[in-house]
Amino acid sequence: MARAKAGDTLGRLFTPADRLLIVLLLALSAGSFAAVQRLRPLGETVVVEADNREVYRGSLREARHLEVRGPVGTTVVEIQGGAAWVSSSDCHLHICVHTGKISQAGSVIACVPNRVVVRIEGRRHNQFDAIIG
Amino acid sequence: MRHTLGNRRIVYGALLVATGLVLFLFESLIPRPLPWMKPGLANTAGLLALYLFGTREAAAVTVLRVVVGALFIGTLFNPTFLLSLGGGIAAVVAMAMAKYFGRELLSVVGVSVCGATCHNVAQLGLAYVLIVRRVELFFLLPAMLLAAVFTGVLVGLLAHLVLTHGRRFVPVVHEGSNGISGSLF
Repeated sequence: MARAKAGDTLGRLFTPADRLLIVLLLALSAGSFAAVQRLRPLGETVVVEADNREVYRGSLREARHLEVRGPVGTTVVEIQGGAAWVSSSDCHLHICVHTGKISQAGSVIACVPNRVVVRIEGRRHNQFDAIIG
Repeated sequence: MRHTLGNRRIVYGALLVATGLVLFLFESLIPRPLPWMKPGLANTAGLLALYLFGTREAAAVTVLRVVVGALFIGTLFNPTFLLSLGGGIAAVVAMAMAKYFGRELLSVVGVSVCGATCHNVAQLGLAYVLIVRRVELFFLLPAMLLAAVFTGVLVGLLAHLVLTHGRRFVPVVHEGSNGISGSLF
């Protein structure tokens, strides 16, 4: 029985099959990304916590300008147009500001130094809890 | 000078395990944004074992590297370890099958990409079964697939470099009709 040598495809890189495989994987990645975006429940409620206590809960569709006090200073939370974001904060790194806008259920902005957390909750927040794989 | 291939396999297998461990430890030292984001350089050792020897050797090199590596960084038998082991075994199986069935078509890079993809998908599946148990975990799948393309190509190119330019330092092995036979240098 004639078998191919171990080094058959050595010396050749990115053969047509390689490229096809890579393109297929990239397409699969993009396709599953689109599917995930559709599956992800849309956000409904904005919850703002300061020092682990809930200080605000309201609809994502109601425009708000919230100034939350914390140990470092004031963190300004904006809610408008179905998204929530931190527009300014007295913390050093401004990670919360750089996080940008969040709109999908489960998304979180956290200002750790000022102990402020902005969370988005979904309409059917626990819809996945009943699925057993 | 002729030796039995058995000895050679043990010596080069051990060298590959050591190489994999060095790459694994090097990788563990690089800071990364998320604990599971790794280029998977250590898999180069398993891929080389597959091309130089065969499936059994690739599996042995990978399992030994995972176990000893976990011993080094202190994660032996915890969930991370099970994820590494499962991912490693999935990668070896995928690469062996890709190499066997795609012999004439796929290069080292293609085989490596197959391994990386199965590694990531298997880890996600295992993480679901063992740790998270939330369907939201699979929201990571697109990122994992995308990452597999890049890490797979990286590891494949690395292995290609060793297999072509490292000819003087590695044994040339041909698959004969009755198992493996070959000569060193």
